[in-house]
Amino acid sequence: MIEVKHLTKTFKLKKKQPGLWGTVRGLFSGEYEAKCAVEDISFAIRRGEMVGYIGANGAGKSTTIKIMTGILAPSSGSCTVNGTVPYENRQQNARNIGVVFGQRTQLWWDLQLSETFSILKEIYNVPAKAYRDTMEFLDSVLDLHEFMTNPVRTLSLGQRMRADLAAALLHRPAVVFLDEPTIGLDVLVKEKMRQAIKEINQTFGATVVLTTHDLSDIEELCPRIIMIDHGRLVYDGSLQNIKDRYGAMKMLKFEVKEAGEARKIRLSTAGLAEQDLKSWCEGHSYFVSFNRHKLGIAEIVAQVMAQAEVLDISIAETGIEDIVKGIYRNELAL
Amino acid sequence: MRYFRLYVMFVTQYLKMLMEYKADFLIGILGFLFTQGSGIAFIWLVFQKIPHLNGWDFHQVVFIYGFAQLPRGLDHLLTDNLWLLSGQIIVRGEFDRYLLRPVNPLFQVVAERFQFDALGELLVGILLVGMALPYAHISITPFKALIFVVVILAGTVIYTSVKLFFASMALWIQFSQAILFMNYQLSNFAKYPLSIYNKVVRGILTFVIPFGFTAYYPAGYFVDKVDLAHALWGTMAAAALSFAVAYMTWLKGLKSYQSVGN
Amino acid sequence: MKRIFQRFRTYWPFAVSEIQMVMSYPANYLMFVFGGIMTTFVTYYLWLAVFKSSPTATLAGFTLQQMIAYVFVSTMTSSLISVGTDQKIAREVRDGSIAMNLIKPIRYRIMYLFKAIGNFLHQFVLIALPLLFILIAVLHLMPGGITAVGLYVFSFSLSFVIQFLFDNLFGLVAFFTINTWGLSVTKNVVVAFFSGAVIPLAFFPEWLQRTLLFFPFGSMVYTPTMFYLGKFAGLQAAAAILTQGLWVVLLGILNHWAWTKAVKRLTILGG
Repeated sequence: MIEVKHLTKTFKLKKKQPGLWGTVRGLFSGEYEAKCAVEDISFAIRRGEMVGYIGANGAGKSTTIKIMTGILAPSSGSCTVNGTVPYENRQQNARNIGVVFGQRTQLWWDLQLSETFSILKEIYNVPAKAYRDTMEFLDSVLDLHEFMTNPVRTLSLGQRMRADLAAALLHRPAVVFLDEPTIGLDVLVKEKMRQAIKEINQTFGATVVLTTHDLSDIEELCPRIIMIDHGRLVYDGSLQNIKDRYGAMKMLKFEVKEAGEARKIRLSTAGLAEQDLKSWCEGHSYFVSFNRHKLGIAEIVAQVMAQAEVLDISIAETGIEDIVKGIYRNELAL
Repeated sequence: MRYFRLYVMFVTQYLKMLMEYKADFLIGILGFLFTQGSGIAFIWLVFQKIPHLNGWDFHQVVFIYGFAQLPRGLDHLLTDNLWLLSGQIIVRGEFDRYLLRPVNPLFQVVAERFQFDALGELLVGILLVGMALPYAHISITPFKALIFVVVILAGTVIYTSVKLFFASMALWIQFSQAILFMNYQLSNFAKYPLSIYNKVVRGILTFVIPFGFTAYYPAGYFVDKVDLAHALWGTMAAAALSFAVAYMTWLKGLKSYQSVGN
Repeated sequence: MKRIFQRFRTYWPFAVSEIQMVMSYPANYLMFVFGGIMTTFVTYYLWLAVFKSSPTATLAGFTLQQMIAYVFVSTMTSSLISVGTDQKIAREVRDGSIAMNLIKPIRYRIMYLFKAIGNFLHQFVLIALPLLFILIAVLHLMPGGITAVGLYVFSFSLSFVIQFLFDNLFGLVAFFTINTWGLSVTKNVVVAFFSGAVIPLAFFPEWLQRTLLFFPFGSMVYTPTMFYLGKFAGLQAAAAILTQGLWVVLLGILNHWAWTKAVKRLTILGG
């Protein structure tokens, strides 16, 4: 459905010079610096898949989405969506895709929501019958009727996001790109959005590409994740795989009486890979992150107690959130 | 056909909003009425002291002044969103959405907004031209009426092209409203006979930013100051040429557009 | 004295921030300014043509030289005193942020006065100085001599206050309409026309000139500009300054009354 091959996008940024004279010169000079947003990314997504596309801020997620939606053309490499090259046949591609940018609405600010849909019906040439059916379905999953006659500018963020999602789906696109569709929403609306996305995927068989900072979105919706960092692909595979690998990690936190003692603690690491045992200290706290398949809690506790006077001990499970953060920070290798 | 239907839909929506905010609409029209009214009052006061201005009598000056409002007002009514394109649509990252829909993006930008305030400009224009007609020794023939319509439309195209050209620059530099404003203001020169300006100003208004063809050349024909060839073909050529340049720039800008933000 | 100094320190940053705002995009700012005064050049050419077509050497008591000086000085004056205070206040009223500013421990209108001063300063450097340079050094158009310039500066400062108070009052119309843009345009046009920024008031018919004595417009642009031209002297000069002073007092009182009412209304409506 989507095929991305060796995709690279370099932005030309005009060099900004300070001062009035610099600005005047900037108008005429051709000095640019290149910034690489995405570098040599390849992946393929099958029809009907739901894929989480994740990465830290500025990792290149939005750039990739913008290329797949035809807003930007890549510097090199190629990309096809449903057999169309988006940046070459932008308008044709637009018929196949639905897009939600959570950060900004695509609705008409001054118009009633219902008018927005009638205009979109015209823009996408949706036949009357299909329009009725789709609207009925979207209303059932997103409860649009509650605010259908309100002007868009008066909608709350949650309502607006639901409306934006509906607007992106009106023409039953084969591929749906959702860029941060749950950003800033409260738990209940988030849940509603997720339900809707799930149903769209099942009912329409739409392929869904989802970017988000909220990893619980991913956990609920996407069996597969593609992760990029600094413009490069760092992981493409099942979410379960990551969980299996790092879900085994546990963390122990010791409260030590003397800060000086905490710093002196050394654990024996004989026969262990680096990522299976890590330790660090912050003031009076001493942390140990370890693989529970390789190391027992009792053993670690015994070692620490032998070296320092411990006041308190707590144990924490490592969640997907921590794992991904760890990967961003290069603490965990994939 | 689809584009036509869409356009009608947008107009209808705007008319509905207009009904909702009647008072504001009237105030907007008032703004334009006063602006043009003060211009006419100025001319009137000056003509209290002089018999003619560079060979143009009062009614002829009123005619060109009123004529100048017509293409300006028409363009204003129809393509006001180009101002927002140059000033905020791209800066705020709102341009992407036009690219996500299977409809010509320029059409979307233009169709999205109607500036009904511009009716004030059109009203003043029609009034002034109507008032000047009986006094400015203008004979009305079907041929001249036809020419009138054609040159007004061509003049509108010139206004739109100038705006499109400078608004398109925003596709590279994000904010181009300042440079658009500066050049648009040149249109103020077009309200009076070009013959009162020096060569440089005349040259600019004829060959660089051809606002001269939105009033002086075509309007001059009706008061026997400019010959038909300059008035009609000159205006048509200026309109065609400026639109070609503006639209090419727009297309080129679309190609090198680098969306901002995430 | 110390208190005044302290006040000054509190409010001065508002002036600075206005300057910084335009200075962050100087090229754009200059283009806006240049576009804004383009009509002045239209007027300049128009007057050249008018005097060429005139059977007499003076019109309404103006020679061509004086008229050219009038065009530039009146433009300069009106752009230096109109700093958009009304639109800024209107915007705050419309989006409700005025409530946030009213609860801060600062005097709202003094804050705006300093913003106006900031705007005045950068316009002075970027618009007035170049214009004055052209006028005095290149065109040698200083018909009233140095005394006239001094009187101009004094009269101008009164103009500045009058326009500020007037704009303050006008900013309150945002309580009544959303389209403050249309209203602002209307106001600017009316003010420009009747203040003498478009054409000297001497060109107006007698009855209109008399009627305009009951409005503050003439005190905004016409009076200081006439001082620059050295056209006001003796009793006439004293009367002109007195009129300006009277308007400062009158508008000040009106302002106080309207704002007290507006703030009350604001607290009742809750913004």
